[in-house]
Amino acid sequence: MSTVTTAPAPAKTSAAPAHPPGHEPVHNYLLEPGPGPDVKGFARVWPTVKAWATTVDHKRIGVMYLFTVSVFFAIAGCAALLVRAELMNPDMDFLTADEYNRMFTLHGVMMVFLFIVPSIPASLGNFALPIMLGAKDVAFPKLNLMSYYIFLAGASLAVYAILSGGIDTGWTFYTPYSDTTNTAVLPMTMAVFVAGFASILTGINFIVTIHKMRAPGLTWNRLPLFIWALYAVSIVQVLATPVIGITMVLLAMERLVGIGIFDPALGGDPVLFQHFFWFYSHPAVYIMILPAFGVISELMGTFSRQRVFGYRAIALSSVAIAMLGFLVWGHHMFVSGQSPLSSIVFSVITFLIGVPSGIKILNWVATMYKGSVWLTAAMLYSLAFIFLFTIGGLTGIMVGALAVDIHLHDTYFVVAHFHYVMMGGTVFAMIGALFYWWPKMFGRMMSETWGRISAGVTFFGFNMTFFTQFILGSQGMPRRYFTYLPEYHDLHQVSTVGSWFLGLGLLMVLFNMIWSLFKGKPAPGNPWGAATLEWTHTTSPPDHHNFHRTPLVTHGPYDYDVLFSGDGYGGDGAGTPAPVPNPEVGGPQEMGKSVDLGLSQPKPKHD
Amino acid sequence: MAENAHTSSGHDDGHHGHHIIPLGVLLKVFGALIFLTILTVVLGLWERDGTIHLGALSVPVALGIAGVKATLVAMFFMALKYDTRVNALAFSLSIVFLVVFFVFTFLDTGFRDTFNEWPDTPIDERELQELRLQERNEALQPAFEAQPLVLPGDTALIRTP
Amino acid sequence: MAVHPAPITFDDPHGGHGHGDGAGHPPHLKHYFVSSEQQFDASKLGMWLFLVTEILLFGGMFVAYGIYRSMYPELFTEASTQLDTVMGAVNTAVLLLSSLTVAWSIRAIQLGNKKLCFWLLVATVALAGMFMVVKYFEYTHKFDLGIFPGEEMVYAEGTTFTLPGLGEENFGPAVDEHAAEGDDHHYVPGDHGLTNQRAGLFFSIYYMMTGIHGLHVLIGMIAIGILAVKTWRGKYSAEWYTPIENVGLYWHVVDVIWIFLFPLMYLI
Repeated sequence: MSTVTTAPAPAKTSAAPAHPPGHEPVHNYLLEPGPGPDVKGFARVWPTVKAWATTVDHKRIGVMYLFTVSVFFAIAGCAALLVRAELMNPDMDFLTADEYNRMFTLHGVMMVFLFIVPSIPASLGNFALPIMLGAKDVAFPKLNLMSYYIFLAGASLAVYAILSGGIDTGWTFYTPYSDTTNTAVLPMTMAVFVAGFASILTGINFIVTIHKMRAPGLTWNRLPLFIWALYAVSIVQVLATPVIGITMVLLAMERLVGIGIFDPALGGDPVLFQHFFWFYSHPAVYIMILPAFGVISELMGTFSRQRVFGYRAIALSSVAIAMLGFLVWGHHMFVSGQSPLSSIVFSVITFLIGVPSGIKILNWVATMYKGSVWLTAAMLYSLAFIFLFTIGGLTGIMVGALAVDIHLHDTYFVVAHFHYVMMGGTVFAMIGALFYWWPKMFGRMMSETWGRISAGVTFFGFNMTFFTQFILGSQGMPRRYFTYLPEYHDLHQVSTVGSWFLGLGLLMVLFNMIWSLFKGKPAPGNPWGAATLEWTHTTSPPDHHNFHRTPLVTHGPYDYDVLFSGDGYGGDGAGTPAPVPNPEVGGPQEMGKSVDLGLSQPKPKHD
Repeated sequence: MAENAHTSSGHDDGHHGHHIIPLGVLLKVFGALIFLTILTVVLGLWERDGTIHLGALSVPVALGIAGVKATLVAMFFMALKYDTRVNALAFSLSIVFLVVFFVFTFLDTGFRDTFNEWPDTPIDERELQELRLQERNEALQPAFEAQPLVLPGDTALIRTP
Repeated sequence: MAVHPAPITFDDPHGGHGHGDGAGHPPHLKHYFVSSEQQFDASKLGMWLFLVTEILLFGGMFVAYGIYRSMYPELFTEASTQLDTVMGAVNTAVLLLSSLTVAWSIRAIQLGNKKLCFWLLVATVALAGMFMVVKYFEYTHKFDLGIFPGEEMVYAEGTTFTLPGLGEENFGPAVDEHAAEGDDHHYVPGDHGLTNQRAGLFFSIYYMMTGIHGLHVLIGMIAIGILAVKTWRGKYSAEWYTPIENVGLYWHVVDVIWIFLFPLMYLI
């Protein structure tokens, strides 16, 4: 996607008169015009607070989402550290059995519903999607803001549920226990119900934006793969989330008036609850991982300086995973007493999921082949992703096999499996994405050195924490217990120490971010030399309206050679000369003269 | 925008989404809907008092009539017939996934007893029981063989050619 | 609107505030859309996607209905006789008629007839209100008979229970206590003739589905009422009537759900 503003060149080069007031290149979506110097105290910050709280700018909403989900990630992460610390020794060191149950439920519910589901799509997706499409905003900006507040409302309900005693059902709310336990199930189900609405609204917004608001020339085959992934995610959100809504309503009614739909004492079927729950929650697993796939596709292309191998296969495999993801939920229920027939069917379809996932992994690896791999912090995180996700995915196939699952069900093996996918997959991809888009979001570079060190520490800590759990699980350590037999002691201790390394690595990322906001070097428009619209056509950070001119897209999102050699074509078929670089935005023209960041950028390779 | 590159605000009849449905069509569709409602009520009441007997077909028939009614509403009242295909695709996707939801759940609830021939006892105990059974059969074998398979009274039942 | 003859430029110097060539853009056009056409298409697709979520929301309960019907077919044929077919049929006709008035009101506004559009919207709200009134009578009648969802279901004295969730508290008062009152309109809780112990399950599904459907009717009434007021004030015209079209779509889906609910609950 090149800069193809083919207006007469002189008008562009004499930059001074080109900008109407309020649209100078330095104009920055993060900033508000401040009050006069005589305004003091609270009145000084109030306009900014108000402007942010009522903003309909997708970039600001994305930043607000990013902040909010990070807070929940931190809380839920601390809960995980407490759980791990309790498991250091088999005795009840500082958590009672009851507190332990509440703590891991807190960790699960918060991580799933308040962090991972909205994580990449609502924060980075909201920020990047309209810019990558060359649109000024999402299709329904007010709805976007509403979804943020609905999410906040859901989150407050969840916090209320935790403060009023917490819940001890695990994040799955299985009946009949959730029907009878006297913990705060009701507010928590309502929290999930409300947060689901936010998810639906984001999904609708994304689908409509992708369908209707692409820049001229941005055909489906030229969509960045991140957009394809978000598209697949949004379909899942729209189709699956209503079902968790009605499930939570039914569960709440079960508790309130005893409707008996999931109560065997009244003729209901508790396994039906599991079907209802997993009809959403298994596709939700793909809501969590698909955006990560999109991120990795972007990073692989950009940091290998090479067109992403098998673009179409990656794009369509996202959609295939989204669709197949609806047909496999029963593999969570192999030992629930569901019919053997459905177990077999679900098991077979579960294996099929491995095909599109494998396509992606192989294509990413092939993208790096003979490319000029640039090992930035973001790239290191995405390499870690490929390593960890492959392990997570393959162990998923193992637990998807019926006979093996009987042995491994509800053991630490399953815990390790989904942490490899969710944490090693989604969270690593999200950190990589943050390193990648941070300069665009905040106009500052994060420290590469510390970023690379943190990637190493996190990777080491993660494997130390969770690889041991594979071994523990295969030896029969059941999940969700606060204590264990003495023979598991050593591995549990290794795992707990690993969790400290993991926490340390994540803290380094956090401090890196905060440091960069104050001390980071100012970012140029396109520090990574990427070829998608948000890098080539906007400043860092972008303008309020993203673009000064609606971009015209003439080639694919990963055509680095066309972009950087400057021998592109006008795209109108009329022999228009090569694109005129647009001096006030990022893009190839900045590659040579940008501020020295101390980063070594390999020369784009042409052969 | 690629597909929206034409000039704005054309509210011409020919364009999708701005089709003005003739009043005659709306009224005809409403008539058909009322007719189908009466049909399904009459069929239901007849079925209940035994005038007709649809039996297992009564559910598919009622659902079929409802499906036709819903299609009529979607096609004409909701103007899907004149609309972009994306909207129709979204609508049909919801139906498809509803069917998937039901069918896969039914694969469980409808087939709970399918392969349940095995007793709950563990395999080693079962093998032991089978061994005992075999030993017992073998012990009883002489007694069985002493007894003729066809008793004299049964010969009348066997037709000889 | 920014399609110029060659060379192609998408020059928009006013950023988000203006639309270049000064062809004059209608006041309803949001700045982040290029044309009314795009805005209309986008909001309509958004509405359709919202309807998809509505269908799947009800879909969960339809699946519960289907699963329990396949488990206990006799329960459903027996319990459905408790529902008043005539009232259900009347309500179906009422909703179908309201669908017609909404579709007609869109036609009216497309042709620029704001007055007709207003009255048709008012008629829709009135019909929806009628639906709710009928629903109210149906519900109160059932409550009188002690037909409640799940564990609240009241049975006649002497019914034997084998399900552990049912017991003494599910018995209604002895029938003869009230028979002497001679009040035609007084029903005795438990005097509904149902003996199936899972009747509570059927009526749980019935109350959940019709209840949530009724909630949607109420929301639709409010939305259409607002539209009617705005139409009266002349907010909509043949140029711009997207909200009417979208709320109309919502209303038709409420109708479609009832089209399925009616035979499943009342007839078979």
